[in-house]
This record gives sequence, C-alpha cells and structure tokens, in this order.
Amino acid sequence: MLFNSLVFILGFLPITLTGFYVLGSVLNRRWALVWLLVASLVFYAWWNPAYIYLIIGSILFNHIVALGLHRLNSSRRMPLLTLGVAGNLGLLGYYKYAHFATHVFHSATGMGVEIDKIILPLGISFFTFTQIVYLVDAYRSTVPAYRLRDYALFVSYFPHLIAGPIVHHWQLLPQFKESKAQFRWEYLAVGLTAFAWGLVEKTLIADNAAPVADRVFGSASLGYHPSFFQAWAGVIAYSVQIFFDFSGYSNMALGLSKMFGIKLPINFNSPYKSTSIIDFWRRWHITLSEFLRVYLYFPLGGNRKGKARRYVNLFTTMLLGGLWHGAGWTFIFWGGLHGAYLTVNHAWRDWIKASGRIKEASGLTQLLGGALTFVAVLAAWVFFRADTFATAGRMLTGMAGIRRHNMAAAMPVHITLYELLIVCASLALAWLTPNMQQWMADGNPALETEDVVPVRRWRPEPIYALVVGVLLFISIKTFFASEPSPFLYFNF
Amino acid sequence: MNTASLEHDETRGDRIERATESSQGRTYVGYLALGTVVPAVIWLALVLVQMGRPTETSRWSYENYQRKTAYAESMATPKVVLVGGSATLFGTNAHDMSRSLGVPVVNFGTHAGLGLPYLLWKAKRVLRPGDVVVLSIEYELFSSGNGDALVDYVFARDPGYLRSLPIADQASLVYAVSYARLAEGLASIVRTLRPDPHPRYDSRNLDLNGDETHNSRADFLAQSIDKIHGPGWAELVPALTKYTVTSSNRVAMEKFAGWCNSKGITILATFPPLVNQKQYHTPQSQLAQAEYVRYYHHLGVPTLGTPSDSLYPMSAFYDTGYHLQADAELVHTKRLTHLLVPFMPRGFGLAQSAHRMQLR
Repeated sequence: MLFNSLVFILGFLPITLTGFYVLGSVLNRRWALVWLLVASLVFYAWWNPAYIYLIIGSILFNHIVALGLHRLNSSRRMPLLTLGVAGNLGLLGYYKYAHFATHVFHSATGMGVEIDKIILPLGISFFTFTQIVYLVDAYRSTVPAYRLRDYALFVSYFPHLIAGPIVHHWQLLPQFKESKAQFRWEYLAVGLTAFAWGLVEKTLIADNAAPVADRVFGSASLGYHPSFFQAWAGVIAYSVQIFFDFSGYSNMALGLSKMFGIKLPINFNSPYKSTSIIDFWRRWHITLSEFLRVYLYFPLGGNRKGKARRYVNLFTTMLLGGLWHGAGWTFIFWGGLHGAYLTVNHAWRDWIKASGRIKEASGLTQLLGGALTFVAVLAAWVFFRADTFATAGRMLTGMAGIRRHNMAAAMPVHITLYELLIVCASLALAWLTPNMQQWMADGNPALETEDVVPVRRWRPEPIYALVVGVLLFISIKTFFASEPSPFLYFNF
Repeated sequence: MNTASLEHDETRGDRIERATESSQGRTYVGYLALGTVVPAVIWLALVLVQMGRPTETSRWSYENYQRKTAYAESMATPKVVLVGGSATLFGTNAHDMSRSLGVPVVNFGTHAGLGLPYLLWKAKRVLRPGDVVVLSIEYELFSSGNGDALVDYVFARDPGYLRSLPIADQASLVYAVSYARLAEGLASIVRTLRPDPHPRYDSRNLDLNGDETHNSRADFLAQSIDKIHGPGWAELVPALTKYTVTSSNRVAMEKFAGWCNSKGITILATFPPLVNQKQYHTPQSQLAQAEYVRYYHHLGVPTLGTPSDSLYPMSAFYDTGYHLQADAELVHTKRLTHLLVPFMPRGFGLAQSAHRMQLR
C-alpha cells in the first residue's frame, strides 16, 4: 500500500487511527498496540500477501535469537549472534543479491547457473538492518528483553516499515511502552501537516521532475547520446526527483507516526545545502549513515588505526553502503565514488587543519564548497540512476560536452521549457527554503536532534491550516489523473 | 508553599496548557479539513456546471464514433468489429478485410487517449450475439488511467458514460479534470464553439467501414516527416520494457471478456502495429511482450500473432509510431485477415477456400 494512494489516505489511515484510539480509551494501551501491530501487518500484506510469512518468520527468528542472547553467558553469545546476523544476511542475500551473484559467477567462470525469478520483498533491506542492529545491541547487553508483541510492532510499525527511517529499539520501544494511546488533537494537527508536506513533495515536485529524468536516462540506456543540455537536464531532474521523493516519504512517515503520538528520527536535513561531502552524509539518509558508521565503520576500526586504515575503512563502508542500495555494479560504484569523495574530503580537512591556513570558512568558501559538493553528488547520481556503465558513460560524456557520435545516435528527446522551469524551481526550493523539521520545530514532529536549526515559522493557526488543507486537496487530486507512483526507495 | 501545593499547581498548569493546546489543535484540524473539503466541493460544482458543453478537442473522436456506430448498427449480425485506439483506425482496413472475409467489418478504432474501459464500453454498445470482436489495444492503455482525452470527451460529449459508472469512479473522473480543461469548459459556457478550419484529423476522411482514407504518403508527407523524424519522436512510441496492467484496466478487460462470452460474442486479440526499434528485441522487452500474450490467454482470449509480428520499419509510419501509412496498412490488414480466418465461426458467410486463395 502506498502512502500516496486513496486507499491509504481515505481507508487504511482513518481506520487504523480510529481503532488505535478507541481501543486505547475503551480497553487499554496494550490492545491499542496489538491493533497497530495487526494494521501494520495488513499494510505489508497489501502489497503481496504471500510475503507476510517472510516478515513474520524474520521477526520470530530474531526475537528468539535476541532472547537467547539475553539468557546465555557472554562466552556463548558470539556464535549465536553470528547465527542471527548470518540468518538475516542470508535472507537479504537470497532475495536481493542471488541474481546478481549468479550473474557475477557466470561472468567470472562462464558457467551458467539458473535460478527462478525472485521478487524483492518490499522493505527487506530496512527491516533486516533494523533487526541486525537489535541483535548486536542484545549481544552488547544494551537492550532489555522485550515481549514479542512489542518487538514485532517495533519492526513492522508501518510508518517506517517500507523505506525507513532505520530505527533503533531505544528510539521506538520506550515510546510504545509509555504511549497511553490517548487521542490528542495536537498529534493530529502536527502529524497531518507533516504528512501533507511530504505528500506535496512527492506528488507535486518529485513526480513532475521524474518524466524528464526517465526520458533522458531511458533513451541513453537504449544507446542514444544526450547533448550537453539534455544530459544536464536529465541528471538535475533526477537529483530533484530522488531528493523530493525520499524527503517526501520520510516526512510522510514522520507525520503518520506523530498522529499515533510516536516520534521517529529524522532522515533528511536539507542535504543539497551541504558545503562538503562529509556534511552531505550527515544530512542525506541520516539513519542509514548512522547505521553504517556505528555498525560497520567503527567495527572495522574507524579512525583508530591510523590515517591510511581510516580511509580504507571509509571506502569499504561506502562501498557496502552502495551495495545495500541495490544489487548491481553501478550501485557499488556509486558507493565507492562517495567513499573516494569522503576520503579526499577528510584528507583535505586534515591538511587544512595541519597547515592552519583557514581558521573559519568564509561565505565564499562555503558557497564554493556547496557548488563543488553538488556537482560531485550529481556525477555520482548518474551511476546510481543508470542501468549500466555504458549508459552512465553516455550521460557523463554528454555532461562534459563531448560529442563523438553521428546524428543517428543523437538522443531523440525533447525537453520543454515548462519542464525545465519546474526542475529549476524545485531545485531552488531544495537550496533556499527550510525543511519540514526546521519549519515545524514548535510542533516537535520528530525525535530531536541538535543538527536541525529551527526556523519555527509554523504555528497551529487557522491560516496555516487552510493553506495545508488546500495543498492536501491539490496533492490528492493528482491521484485521480494517473496511478500513484511508487517511491524510489521502495526498490532498495 | 509546601511541596504538595507546588505539585498541585504544576498539575493544574499542565492541564491548562494541555487544554489550550487541545483547543488550538482541534481548531487547526477543523480548518485543515475545511481547506481540503471546500476546494473539493467548489471543484465539483465547477465541473458539473460545464458538463455537456462540447469542446473542439473532443470533436474528432465524437464524430468518429457517430459515423462508426451508425454503420455498425446498420449492419446485420454477424459482423466483425475491430476495437482499439488510433492504431486500429489507421492500421487496419476494414473495407479490405470485409471483402476478403465476405462479412461486414467495422473499423471501431478511434483514439487511445479515451482509455481502455471507455473503448470497451463503447464497443459493447454495437456488439450483438454472434459477432466477432478483435481487440488491438495499444500497450499504454493497459497502464493508463483517466487521461486528459477521456476526461475532455466524457464531460463534453458523453455525460451518459459518467452516469453509468459507480459513484467512486464518477468522483475519480470529476477530480481527474485538469486545471486547463476546467478553464476551457467554463469558457465554453459563454463562448460559441468554432470548428478548427485545419484540423489535424478529420472524421470526414472516414470511409463507410470507418477506415481512415487520408493516410497515404501523399496526404501526410508534409506533417509526418517533421513529427516522426524530428526531436522527440521516441516519445511517440511505448518503451515496452515492462508489462503493466493496472487494476482498473484489468477489471474492465475481465468484465468485457466475461460479457462477450455470456452473449455468444467471439472475442479475439491482436497487437497494434508499432515502429520497429532495437529496444523491442532486448530480452527484457521480449519478456514484457510475452507477458501481454499470456495475459490475453489467461483471460481465455485467443491471440492473432505476436507483438513482434506487428513491428514495421519506420518508413511504414507517418506521424506517430502507431499510425501506419496506407500501403503498410494493407499489408498489416492482409496479415491480420489471414490469422483471423481459422477463428471465424462456422456459417459466417465465408467462402474460406476462395478467400485463402485471395489472401495468398
């Protein structure tokens, strides 16, 4: 079920909210949480009922392993943790990477391996990583033994289930425990506003930028060479699409959760305003970056084993981050490219610090840093979006203004002025306006973080409500003209 | 002040703050709902007030249907009805097919923009027990929703279709009206409709069977060359890289197939002519094409040929990758007629052996 669909907005959400609060006030919070768990499983099953067994099996497996980790003495925990992590990675490997692995095996050895078509279960990367984190924390004895009901809700809680944010047990489970399941108008006011904000980002911005990106990348994939203008328009359109698609989803998730009185961590903090790549990864998909840092980069040694080792660790972490996004060489390359960017960025910072040349970054330095970061991110998006390296190569040669093809291979794609204006205006929004958490800081839509500088312009006042209501109508109206489009991060 | 009274004061303060927040929150949600519902109601009123006002953009499809329906209804059963969008209109020659088969054939192809459910709904109006219907559905129609052309057409020319739909589908169409179409509809209330003196397509070019007669090279050369060889031509054809049938289209197809079976109407499907591109020969595209064939078979609808059989070189087309030129249209029709013969019910007034000779 998509957040941006009528069945969700007019059916699932009102029913789930009503059931939650009615059970919370008539019976007690436990029944309300059971209702929320059942609703979350229905939400997942809506996509493909057969895969409900997969997520239930995964939850049971991890809960049992976590219980074992609590009960065993420290010397016997490691084999069990290894089993638990291997089980999770095995599941993820089968559904997400089996095809890619057999393809690589075939390319390397020439031996054919036939496997049936495997449908990627929705959100498998997210719920697998959420549970690995839980097991590691259970192994470190930093997590109490939770009941199966609470644990199952923590994993399957529908606002974050499909595309994050990746949540820690300590962020969510105490809130479930403390939740009184008592309705409060301010929850609904803040939640609806954040949800509407995300819906506008998705339906009015991301979905309008998508056709340009799809046409240019699709045509490049067929062997056509984009002109300088087409290539830049295509990749900028994609950068707008993925930004507002993922930001939209994340804000909708925060808003939905807030309606139930539960706060989720933020996943986005205006990443295109970054002044460096290091800054970018503190703002883009924050919960994944945090996961990779704590559960991969630190165990690899982090920066504790010298500079060279630190760079290798960084690169390896980002390479695996790329692989997490998709089973393909272009995703791995994208991760590696960001690993290389981060390495250069850290080396540059170390050198600046050591030489004592710049004490504090000036406005111009920040502007130049921001421009350089954005171009580097754009170049990397080319690999993220392209289906093959050949496609990426055609896009990059187009962006560089290199023209070595004949007229017959010129890209037959026409981009209208209107489309171009939409893309440019959207990019200006990403650069120049505050994000939802900043704007709505007074409403506390998400778990607090010191990285967000509040702007506090939103107030629960009628004028804001009317504007949000009209925007909600305009967004919902788009569902009638065409089928709602899925979120990009559903594929990861 | 002792500790107990301090606690009491704090609790009271909390309560007051909570009550203020709650009241503010309630008012806010109320206004938010108002902000959503009021525009929805205004929109509904604005759409309904201009319903039935004809637009110039819907004229061609409307007149096409009038002529084709009149012909189909004048023909005795059994007859063959070719159903699809403009790929059928320009790509098949019902007159030629009728001569070959010895039965009336109606080219009921109009405009793919009207969407699959509408094309099927219109076809039901002219089909009678004993007829044969051949679907040639453009691939995009399986995944498209309420497009601009359908919305324009229904509100301008066919409000009856709107009324025939369940209430949820009626609401869908009302809110699928674009801002530009709403403005045009409202303007049409005060403005007299003036026919376009140089329409791109003209229903007066149809022959008795409903075939387009102005698609020879001579007729379309000037405007076609620009379009099909100009920038953006690739956007005029489907990517055909994945198989997608949306739920509303799936339901419409299933209902139509069931209705045909219940009425004793033979239902067959073929694939629209399409400009041959290398992308259609990739494994991914081949898989998607096979899925469309399988989809028809799943519905119990036999297929005439495969999608690959309907691919023609670009020189066979003029202004879109779906519209055949007259000479290619005849080639496509002959191939289709040949495939159709074994499916013709017994006693269909067909001297099969003679026609087979002719087809060769």
